[in-house]
Amino acid sequence: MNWSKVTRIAAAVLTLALAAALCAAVLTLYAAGQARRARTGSLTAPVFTREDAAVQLRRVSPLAALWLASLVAAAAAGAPAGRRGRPARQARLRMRGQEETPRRRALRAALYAAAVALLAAGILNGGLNDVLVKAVNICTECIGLG
Amino acid sequence: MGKIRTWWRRRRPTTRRLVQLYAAVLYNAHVRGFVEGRIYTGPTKAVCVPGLNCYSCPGAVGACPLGALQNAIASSANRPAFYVLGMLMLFGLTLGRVICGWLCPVGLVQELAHRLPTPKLGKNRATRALSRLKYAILAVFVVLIPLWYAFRRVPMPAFCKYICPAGTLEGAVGLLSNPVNADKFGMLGILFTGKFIIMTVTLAACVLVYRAFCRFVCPLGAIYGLFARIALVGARVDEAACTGCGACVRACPMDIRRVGDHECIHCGLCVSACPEKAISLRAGRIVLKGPAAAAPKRRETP
Repeated sequence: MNWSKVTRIAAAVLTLALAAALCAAVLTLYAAGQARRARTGSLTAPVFTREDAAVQLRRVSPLAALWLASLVAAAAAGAPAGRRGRPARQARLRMRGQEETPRRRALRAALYAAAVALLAAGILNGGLNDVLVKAVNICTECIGLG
Repeated sequence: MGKIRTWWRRRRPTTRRLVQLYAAVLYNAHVRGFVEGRIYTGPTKAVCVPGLNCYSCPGAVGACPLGALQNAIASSANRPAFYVLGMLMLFGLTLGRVICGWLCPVGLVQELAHRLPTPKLGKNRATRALSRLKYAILAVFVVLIPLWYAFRRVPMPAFCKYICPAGTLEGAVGLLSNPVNADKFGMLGILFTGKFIIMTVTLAACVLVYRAFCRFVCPLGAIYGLFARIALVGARVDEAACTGCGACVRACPMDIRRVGDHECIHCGLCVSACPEKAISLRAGRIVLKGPAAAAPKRRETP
């Protein structure tokens, strides 16, 4: 086993470890927030706070630094020598249905016409405005804020 | 000097990578939003961008097609989702999954994550089977659940709410990292916890597996995949020149069965891998990449 392979495996293990640590950190934050709510008896108290998040981030940061170092080491070691994976067995292929037939062109033209008609109908029935209204407001549900 | 030139020749970004970068910057051109911690509210937000890009990202100047589709379905009890469907059809008919390969910022993030120097998991039967999962997610989380709630007059963008890691990464992390939005910490709860875990797992998976989110989860890719056979732009095989050796499928990191099928993101890797020079990226009859054989070779009859 050469140095390059070792550093790459270490980087992969640390990637998974960092992901696990981040998941654990967010779960810890959530559990701590719920415990605080139970303790204070307030259902409206925030579950996550910036201070708690900063503490968790500080806990994860040594692992993140180690992960970065492992990536730098793996990059410096270069690509592992030798075979780069076994070529997969592959049945002989039959490439069919790729050519531009008149039928395909006609279908595409018809679908283009349908798309333009749908767009026009959507603009007329207020669909455009719906998209605008939704997009200019932060969708807190969509981004997971609740 | 010669070493530097060799290093640059090996590492310089490909045309596709540059197009991906330009697209990501163009979709998120509202730089002031990142500084101020507010989202853009201009009129261009009425138009969907072709790739997956959360419209709650502080920099986003267009609407996310997937978010817009779910919200349009969610309000389909009031008015049918004609506008978003028409726009998705236009994108799909013109570019198909070329959008995934060339114009999607989430695709770019996944590819950059995959470039990190770690051992990689290649494609196999399991990944091929998993690649069908995105169609189930499209049906359940993008269509059925929003439609079910639409008739109860409850807006429910289920994919955005429960799964989308792009929303967490661009929207939530993008907004929360700005001290201006400190008050939004109070809104976080179980939903954010779940979505943060999904985002972390997705990013870690992308380091080890090529485009893990795109291949197994992304419903937008599933929608564009439906247009694979009729999209104007895409990889085409000169059937007369093709010997069926399978070099293209072996070279491809996606779960394709043949070039240009619903899993193909038209990245153009197969163009250089084909020993017969039978593959080209085309827009109708115009050759964008590959052998500029305008007229396909005629098969010789015995």
